[in-house]
Amino acid sequence: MDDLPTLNFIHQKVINVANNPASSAADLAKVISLDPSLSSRVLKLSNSAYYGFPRKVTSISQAVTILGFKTVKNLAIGIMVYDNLFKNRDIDIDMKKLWEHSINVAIFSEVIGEELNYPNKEELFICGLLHDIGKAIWALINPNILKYVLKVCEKTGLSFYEVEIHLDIPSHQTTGEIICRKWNFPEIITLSVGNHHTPSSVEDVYSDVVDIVHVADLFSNAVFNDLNWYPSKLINEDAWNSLKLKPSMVIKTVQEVKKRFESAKDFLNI
Amino acid sequence: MNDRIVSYSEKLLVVISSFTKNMMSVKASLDVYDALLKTLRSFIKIKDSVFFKYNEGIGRFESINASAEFFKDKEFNNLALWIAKRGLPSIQPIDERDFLFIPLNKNPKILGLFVAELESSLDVIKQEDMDILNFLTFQTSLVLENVSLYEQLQEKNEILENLYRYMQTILDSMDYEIAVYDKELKTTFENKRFKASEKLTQEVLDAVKNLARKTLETAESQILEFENLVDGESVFYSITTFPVYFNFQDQVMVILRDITSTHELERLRKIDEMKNQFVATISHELKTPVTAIKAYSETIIDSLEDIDKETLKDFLKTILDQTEHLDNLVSELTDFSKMESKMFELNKEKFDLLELCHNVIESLQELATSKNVELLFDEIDEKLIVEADKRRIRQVLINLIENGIKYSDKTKNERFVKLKIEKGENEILVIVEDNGIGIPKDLKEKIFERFFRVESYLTSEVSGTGLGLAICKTIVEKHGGKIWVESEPQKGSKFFFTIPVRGDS
Ligand SMILES: [Fe+2]
Ligand SMILES: [Fe+2]
Repeated sequence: MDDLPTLNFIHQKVINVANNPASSAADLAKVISLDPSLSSRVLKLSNSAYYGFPRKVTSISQAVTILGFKTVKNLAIGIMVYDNLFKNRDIDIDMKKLWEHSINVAIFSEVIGEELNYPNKEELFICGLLHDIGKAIWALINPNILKYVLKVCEKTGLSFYEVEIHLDIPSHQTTGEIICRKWNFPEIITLSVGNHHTPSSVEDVYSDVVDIVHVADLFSNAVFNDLNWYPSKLINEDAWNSLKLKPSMVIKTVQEVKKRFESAKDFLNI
Repeated sequence: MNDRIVSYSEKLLVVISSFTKNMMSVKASLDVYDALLKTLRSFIKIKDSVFFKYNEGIGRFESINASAEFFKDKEFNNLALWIAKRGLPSIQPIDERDFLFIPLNKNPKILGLFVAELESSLDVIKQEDMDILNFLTFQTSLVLENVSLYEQLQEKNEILENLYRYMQTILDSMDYEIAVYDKELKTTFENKRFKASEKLTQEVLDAVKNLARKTLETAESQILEFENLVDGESVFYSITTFPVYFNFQDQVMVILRDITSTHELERLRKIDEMKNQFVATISHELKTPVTAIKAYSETIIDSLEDIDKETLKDFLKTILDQTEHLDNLVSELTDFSKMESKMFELNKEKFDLLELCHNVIESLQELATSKNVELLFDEIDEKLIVEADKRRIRQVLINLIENGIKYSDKTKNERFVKLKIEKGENEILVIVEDNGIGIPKDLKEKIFERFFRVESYLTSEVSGTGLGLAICKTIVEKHGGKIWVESEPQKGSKFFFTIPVRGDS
């Protein structure tokens, strides 16, 4: 695990500013603009159809006040993760499909949160987006193990997570949690990455988020047929029960997610 | 932003406490916006603010407290809709000015929107401030939703209806015409007698309305004696009004009494002073249980969904206790009003006073035990036949002994109330002695006056109309006896009363 990737200096700085509650809109804008590529893409996503803002966002600091500090900082984190783990991977593993799944789960998490009137809903998108970050880490540091896991999945019909447990290797949720800690990501992200297959193990202020991401992951697999990565099919009963999603809410959620996914195309190629 | 506040948690605490305080007194939707504004001002500088309600039919926001032109244009409405649908607070630069938008939603329903012009520049808005704004958006939406629900609920709610019915029963049982008038001077309540009294002339009703109007204006009780000529004969009315808060608005309760037949006019003039006191005490005494009943009922209505059975039972128990208390007050009042209207007659019979004393002691034993007070009876070896109103004498004994128990001194290990009887030549002397908290010297005479309560000076644990001893005094004097007290604070009290052996008062 020593060869885990590190964040570059600017990206570390972005995380530091993002983690400090006393940071101002100007602070965040300043540190993001240290990386022109990052800042232009944050601006592009802020103006994307996904947010559908009726006017034009012209600066990062404007994006911060209009869309919210958390939304913008999470956009920056998402782009950084994409650059470090997903972009230009020259391997015969379908990273594009994994990123698409990540976006699906991000949208599902966000919409479920809205449906449930979850107070901290601005954080749900990023938690969903990064939940399978551990798989991307395997693809980066040891693609052979990853390919082996995928093969076992294919042969046995077991899910990706089940095979990891079977083979007794660090699961992608454990690996994901390790990288989140190493990169100093906010606790809410770290916890939902590290427990999205075992949501009952979190008894924290963030247990709701973990439950939401868990349910979003399963929903997304079912609705979008994200089958290439051998998803789990078993829903955690405690997580499901504690969310109290009514059938009518599920139907509304699926409809809303499909609608929103159409407007999220900008996230596929960032 | 307030510079004195250093840390994030400190700031959050200040805002939450300010929020809680401001939201506490919220009664209607508009109050919610005011409370939100106050809370925001505790940590952000705000120039001006506008509140919007959402008109679902036309999909537009309509301001309820301002009419600035640019809030009406379509572009603004689109912006507002975007923010409302997103459900997150947002700061928008418009024409070189910065506006804070707080959307208030109950997903997917838009409840309203709060817009404030900020004084500080956008760049100094911190992550923690936006966090707090998120928190306020979420919490205020909840409050607003509850208030709107509450506004809808109030008309049909069963608990309120029961309370209303209960009040109606009490008011129906009273010997007067009682009605409640709203601000438009229409009756929102009439008790049985009021409904039945068709003979009320327009003049009387006008006088009632005038007095009700005056009560609404001054928010003070009014008393009026009114003479009405019907077919050449004078009919006298006494009209008393109280301001009441009923059905969530200020209203007036009117009590109307025909005082012609009982020749009360003269007497009423003399005891005008007393009546004022009466009104004040009664409204105060009735307010306590009614306020408690109201508060608990409101809590139950507000949180019916998430209240557990045990708590609910507790609350309903309190309501029941207070209802019983109210019941006691009303029966004391009924006694008193009988006395005042001279409908108080003695029913004399011959009976054994000793037997009555035993009987009284027995019936109070349970109360005494529960308060850890020992009940003693120093009897004499002789029958004590008296000619008196047995029920009333019993009432006096119970009142005196009960007081002894109620005002027992909790700091003493051994507490007692002792009943003693001495037979004189022409009269029997009854003594009720206790080692309770006692009565200060200067109050000894006052305790027999109407509405006086020692505990208002000494303790707040016991409440009542303060009519008990006044009723005792009337009963004893009506029998031709006397009643008095000897007492020393902290040591105890000794109440004495006499009954003539021959009932020929
Ligand atoms: Fe996973
Ligand atoms: Fe997944």
